Amino acid sequence: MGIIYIYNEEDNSRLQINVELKYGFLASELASANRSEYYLEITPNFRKANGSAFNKFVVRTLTDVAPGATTPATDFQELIDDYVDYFMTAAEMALSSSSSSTSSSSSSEGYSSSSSSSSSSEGTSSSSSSSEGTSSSSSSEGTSSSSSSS
Amino acid sequence: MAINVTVYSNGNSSSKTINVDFACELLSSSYAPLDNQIKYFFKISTTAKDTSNATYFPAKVLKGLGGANLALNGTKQAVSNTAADYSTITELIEDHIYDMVTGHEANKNNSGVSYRPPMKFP
Repeated sequence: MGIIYIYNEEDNSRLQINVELKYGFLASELASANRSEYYLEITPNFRKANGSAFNKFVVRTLTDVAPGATTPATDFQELIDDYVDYFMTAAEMALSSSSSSTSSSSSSEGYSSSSSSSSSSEGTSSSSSSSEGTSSSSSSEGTSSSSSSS
Repeated sequence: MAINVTVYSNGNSSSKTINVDFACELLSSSYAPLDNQIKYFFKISTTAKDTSNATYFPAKVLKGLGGANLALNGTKQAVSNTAADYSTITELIEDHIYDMVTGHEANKNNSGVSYRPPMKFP
């Protein structure tokens, strides 16, 4: 199994994306394939910025690309790079916040998220806090907002 | 987790194992200073030997579904006389396993491949 590690500076956590080779029947392909198949199962151990879980992705061929990516991928390098980009973007890991922000983190169900009050002159900032089972977030360009739920 | 494919030889009542896995690693053959990018590829390897008993099978590093990733010298599929890309990961892996187990004659399907004996059982 291939594991892609991501160090998240915001909360000093190490996240990972698992790319596992599997062999078995795929229910969605039974009508056409009618046999066991080799496929990749791609799953991150972290969640989207809004707290919702990512779908588990099944890759049988180079056309099974990440949401929004070019299909087909040229090779497995491009395929996996696009999935990493998708997960990083959806989890908003590449966003920056101003130096005046304060942050705290809470974690539940095996993942961590951070909340901050900040303003940013570029892009957007968003903050959220989450607790078991629910989360919410809001963002708007050039302003900061926060919400919390419990 | 890697998949261990067991190949059973009816005539010899013995089996060999072929290991298939997907890797996210640095690749020594493509490593270069300032290009230390993690590579994503399939690895197919085995500790079995061929019937010449001389050499182990080299590990196969497969980065895509076509071109250099075709089983016969990077020009043809092993099962079919075609230079077309494999359509699925299943076809890629099974064609390479087939080639490992059965071997091939020199220049099979005009691929330019050198002779490879079949896998040795037991």
